[in-house]
Amino acid sequence: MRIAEIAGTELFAEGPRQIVRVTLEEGAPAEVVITGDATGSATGTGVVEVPVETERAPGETAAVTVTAGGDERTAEFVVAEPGWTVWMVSHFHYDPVWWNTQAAYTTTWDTAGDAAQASRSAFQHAGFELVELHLETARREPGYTFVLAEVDYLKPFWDARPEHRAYLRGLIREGRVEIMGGTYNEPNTNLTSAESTIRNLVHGTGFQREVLGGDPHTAWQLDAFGHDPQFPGLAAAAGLTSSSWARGPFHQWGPMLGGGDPRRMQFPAEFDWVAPSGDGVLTHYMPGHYSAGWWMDSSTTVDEAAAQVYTWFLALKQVAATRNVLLPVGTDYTPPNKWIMDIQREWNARYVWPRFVCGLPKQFFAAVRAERADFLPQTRDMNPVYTGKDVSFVDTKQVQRRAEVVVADAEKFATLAAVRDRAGYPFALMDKAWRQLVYGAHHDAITGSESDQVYLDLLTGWREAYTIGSQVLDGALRVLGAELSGVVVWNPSSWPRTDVVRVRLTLPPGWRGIAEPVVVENAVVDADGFVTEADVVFLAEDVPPLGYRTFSFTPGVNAGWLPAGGTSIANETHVVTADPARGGGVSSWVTGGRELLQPGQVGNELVVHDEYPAHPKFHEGPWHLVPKGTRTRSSESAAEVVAERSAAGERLVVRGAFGPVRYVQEITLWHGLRRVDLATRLDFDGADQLVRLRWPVAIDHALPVSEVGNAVVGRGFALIDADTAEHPWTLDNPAHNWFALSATCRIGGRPIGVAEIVAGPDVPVPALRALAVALVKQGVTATVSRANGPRYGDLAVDSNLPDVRIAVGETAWPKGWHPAARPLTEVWVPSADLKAHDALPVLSIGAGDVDALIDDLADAVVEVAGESYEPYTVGLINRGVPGFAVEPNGALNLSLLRSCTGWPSGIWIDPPRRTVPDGSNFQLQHWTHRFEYALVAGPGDWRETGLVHEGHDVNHPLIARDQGVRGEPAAGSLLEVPDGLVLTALKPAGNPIATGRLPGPVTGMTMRLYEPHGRTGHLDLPGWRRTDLLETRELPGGPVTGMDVVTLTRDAEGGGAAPGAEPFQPVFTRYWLHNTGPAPVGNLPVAVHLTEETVTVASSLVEGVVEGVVTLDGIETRAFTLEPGAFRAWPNEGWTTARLEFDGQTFEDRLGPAALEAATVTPHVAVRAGERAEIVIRLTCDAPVQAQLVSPWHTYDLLPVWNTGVGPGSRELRFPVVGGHLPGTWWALVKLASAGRVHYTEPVTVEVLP
Amino acid sequence: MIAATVGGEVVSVAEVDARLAALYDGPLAARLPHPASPEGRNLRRWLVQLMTMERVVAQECDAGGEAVPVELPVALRTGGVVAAVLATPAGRALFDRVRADVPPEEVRGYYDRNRDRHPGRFEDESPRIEARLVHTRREILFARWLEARHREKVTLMPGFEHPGDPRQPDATHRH
Repeated sequence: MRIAEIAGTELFAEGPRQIVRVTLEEGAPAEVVITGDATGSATGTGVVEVPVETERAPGETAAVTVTAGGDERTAEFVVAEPGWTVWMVSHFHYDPVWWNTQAAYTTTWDTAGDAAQASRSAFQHAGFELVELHLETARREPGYTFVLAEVDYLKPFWDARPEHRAYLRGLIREGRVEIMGGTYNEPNTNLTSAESTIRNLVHGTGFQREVLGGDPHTAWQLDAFGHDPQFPGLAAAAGLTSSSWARGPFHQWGPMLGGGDPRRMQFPAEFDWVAPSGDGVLTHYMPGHYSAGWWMDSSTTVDEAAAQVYTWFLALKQVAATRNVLLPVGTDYTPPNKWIMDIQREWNARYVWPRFVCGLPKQFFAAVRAERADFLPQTRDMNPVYTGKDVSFVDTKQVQRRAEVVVADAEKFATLAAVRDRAGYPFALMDKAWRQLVYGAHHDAITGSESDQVYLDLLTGWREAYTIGSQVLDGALRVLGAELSGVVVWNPSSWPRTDVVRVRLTLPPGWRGIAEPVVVENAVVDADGFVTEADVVFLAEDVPPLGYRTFSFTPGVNAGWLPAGGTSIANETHVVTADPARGGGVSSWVTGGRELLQPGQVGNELVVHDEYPAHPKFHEGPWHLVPKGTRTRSSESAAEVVAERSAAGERLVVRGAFGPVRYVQEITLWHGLRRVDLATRLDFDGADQLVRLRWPVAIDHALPVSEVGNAVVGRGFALIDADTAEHPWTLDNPAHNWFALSATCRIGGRPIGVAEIVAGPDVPVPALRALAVALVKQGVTATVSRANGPRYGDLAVDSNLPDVRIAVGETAWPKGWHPAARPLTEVWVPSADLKAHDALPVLSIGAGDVDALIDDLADAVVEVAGESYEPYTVGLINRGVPGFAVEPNGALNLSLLRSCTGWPSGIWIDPPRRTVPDGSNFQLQHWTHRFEYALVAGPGDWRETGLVHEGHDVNHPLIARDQGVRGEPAAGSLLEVPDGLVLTALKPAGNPIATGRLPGPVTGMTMRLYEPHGRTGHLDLPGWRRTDLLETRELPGGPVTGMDVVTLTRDAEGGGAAPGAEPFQPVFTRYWLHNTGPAPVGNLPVAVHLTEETVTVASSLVEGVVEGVVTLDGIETRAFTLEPGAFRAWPNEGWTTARLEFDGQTFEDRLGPAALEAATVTPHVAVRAGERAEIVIRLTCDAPVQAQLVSPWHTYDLLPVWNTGVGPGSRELRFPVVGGHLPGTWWALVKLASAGRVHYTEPVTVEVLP
Repeated sequence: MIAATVGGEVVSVAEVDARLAALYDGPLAARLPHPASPEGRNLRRWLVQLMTMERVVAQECDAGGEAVPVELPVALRTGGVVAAVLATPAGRALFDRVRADVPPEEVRGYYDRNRDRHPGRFEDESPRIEARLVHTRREILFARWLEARHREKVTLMPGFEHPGDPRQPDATHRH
């Protein structure tokens, strides 16, 4: 008998007595006796678990003597802490679209064909099957609890499998299932507007709480590729109290990737995540990824599985804020883990602590809150994660921004029309438009992570939102402008505007042009030389906020663009010169006497960076930026530069080509505008390349600043020229409307943007929170760490880097302002590690000085004697091109597009596979692209430069309507909005469809505003009440503080609900099989479904009794009356179709595959401006066919008809092609969907000739 | 060159390559990952999982010959290698040997908790419930047994690790 090993554990038996493991070699069972600082005994062979009692406190060392069968040894072990719980949360992560299709992920994965199996993991199932597998486990195992989340599978499941409703409601009542998230899906909030995020919460909470009867409290953003800084505040304002996710303060897989130590994180896994608004939610980051606990599924015994959970416990407890560990048990599309219940039974029978409990996030958060009152506040920017997301499939980001804007502006004016003129409000259509935006905001959609087929499916969603927005806007402006005459210019912004506007005007007979200072373009001239119609661009001055002004014109000469000679242009503000020898790059940009460009470099330069096809270390595709460190520049070749002038402004037109790029750039200076308007048209035919647009500006010490959702934050320099095989983190980030080189805040002579607040033990958490909030309201995000913990700023762990430290209380730094050892640009290098004591400047203050510092921060300047700084700002405004990078030398880069061949680029599920006409994957983007952007420069910071308004205005252009070239002068504002705030939404009060109700007349208006500059102001609008994001709670008034998001509502009688319907009827009820995104117009309040066995009709309304009739095979009928949330089922007597008329639409479910054949008659269509042609498809089908023309967003005017369909039979589909004035080459194909089957026709080349 | 050993038997790299070549010559070919890519190597690892499982099943059956081959698409479509084994005659023969009992109180508990599904008297409903619970239990036991036998018998050579093994060099974390 020999004692081989003595080891302390974290395990406890009854008592609680800590278990010491004593390993015996050889021999019969022996009694093991432990004496000394801890005492206990047990009998056994091999590994004997000896429970011991001790007077020592947890964390102290106990010295013991162990005797067994004549052997004796001494040892020491660390006294462990009892009371820990591992909450094993059974979940599955669900992407409604990604490399596979919506149809396959929802229901048909097993039958979706071989390509759908090739990238499948053995345990993965479709959504319906997953819900049923978890429900079955719950039926067998009374202790089994689990999580359901996304509306993308819940809504179809609720409608198509109503027989599960009662059981699911029972589980919700018993608290055994947690309906999670409060969001519609897991959106990438950093790539959409904050208003889209808000609608995601409105639709998620509306369905989960109202329709399902759940009680969502935890945002569940497991897989999202980073988070918008305002997200925690928006979640709080939607009634959520916590959140959890796996990617953020660290890179995508967290600090434990490859065996990494989670203790490198600078704050515990449970923290107070705080938005720039100052609101936030208790949050748990998942240090071991959302899949951590799943892998015990591959254990072959319960002991092995339990040992894995114990190993995770030991790792995760190191960063836990309380004695609670959340272990997510599940990964992508997983069934219930096979060991989870056995572990709970067997482990808890063996040990008292730690408990291994199959539990729910709400139990975890309740236990965390019960043990601790406050948590370290973090305003840290949870970005960047997966930098490729900002630019892959860039065309989808452009159309998404356009659609977001037009839908929001349509909503504003339609609401005003409903209230002022009692016009009907198109609730159903607008609801569908928002749900398409919400659906497309998913982290495998707007991120460009999807396969080629899914890309085509998603394009129809954005186009639908854009189409609905455009049509509703037209209708609303017709109502609102009915009494107006002349050219009516509408201002969708909540401040007065002077801006250029473009309008197509029909001119009276006899006009040769326009006398006013305008540009006349694309004119149609009759045989006599008179202009009959033309695009007119003019400066519309002083258009009132959310209002209009009318303009009149008089005949004159046709004033188009005329050659001006030279290569320079100028207006009151700028002088810009381009250099033909250097690719037409801007060699000089002078504003206010100041040259803004770095010597020897050119602006507006295109740079093509070579990329790996997939990540050299992590192997994955489009979501990573993977530059090789080599590049080609437009300035290395010569180009043509032409200067032109007009009555309204001057411009430079640059034409060039290099490498995979042919380009045309326009640089326009308008008289009366201080903005530089720019456009770049690209034709691209490369592969595995990234095209950036570069402006190397020079502003000493300025730092990158980025607009985000309803806020502005500092973001660090990016490191874009390194080889990602050696330095994986480029630090690209997504901006909302703009990014800039500026100073968002400064200490003495040093601008700051990203801080680490290092807190001594003497600083209480509330003081830290107040300081972090004061900083973030001035745009400085902060990580709050403790002085004795690890430092922030190591790219091996952290997803971003700080540029300043603020030490508070008892820390190693003497009080005062300590400059850094070296300039920031010298330490901010690839794979930087800025943890060193003197790597960054440090402001060290006493614990008692926090309030004074907060006061000092109100003007974004912390004064330091003897230091000064004159801020200057250059901002680059984008229109849906979010990816940006500011190099340490000050060069602003906008990521225009990239091509990626890495998986799942080119993946295609439903054959025949389609490509761009040249045979390339759609992910390669081989067609004509146009990018519009603008520059603003001036003294002062970004607030003084007016970038928030400028960025908003560029994205929300003035809207002009031709109501005659001459009219009565008129101007007016339709809504009073307080100065200093930005209005982001004006809508009818309430969200009827999102909460399971049929819309009725408009009863009020709701507006959303935010404070953009970090200033506090008072809000006094008579008649308006404060409410929350869901418009369900009345909130007290009070001042609006910096970057607050405020919702106000008021009563107002308005028009009724205008009907809305899908353009093609009948609507196929199993819409997901057509990969068309969210539920049809109206959100299927009553759904009819047919299976081989049953016919069901189910109501997802929460109020109102529905009566109706289901028609089967056109002959038999079944009448029904449904209470809210009820369903009715009948046996299927052999029918193959079931139809239901409801609320003006016809819904149909249909069994059996439809036979569908289609051929493209017109493989190549080429038109010139003003010419018309057609895309013709011949098809034969034995069921109704939904037909959607799919094409890049640049072609929407070119291909005006897109969403249609035909009945059964042999048919011809004709889609008009209307030649426009922007030449280019694109593609179009028709997605045909019938009875749950999809077919994509051969792509057509669509060309507009110059 | 050996890809794996199963009991005393050897699965050679040549056999794996031949099976892989058949796959790349088949209807799936156009959509399979490039063999030299990490995804392609993981596909090969999946094949090795199937081929070793086939040998385990053959040995356990004492069939003395080849087990019915388990198909990759079947494996993925039916929820895993075990499910694919169950779809073969040899697998079903093994499954038939699995016995399971469910204690009466579990049957009663299931009945009490699931009256929506079993509205009748307990005496009438219990045989169905018991049969269902026993079948589920047998499936669980079979899967655990088969995976344990695979674990005991199979040694995988470097390059042929389980594709989901986080330690193997091509393990992808596909978000």
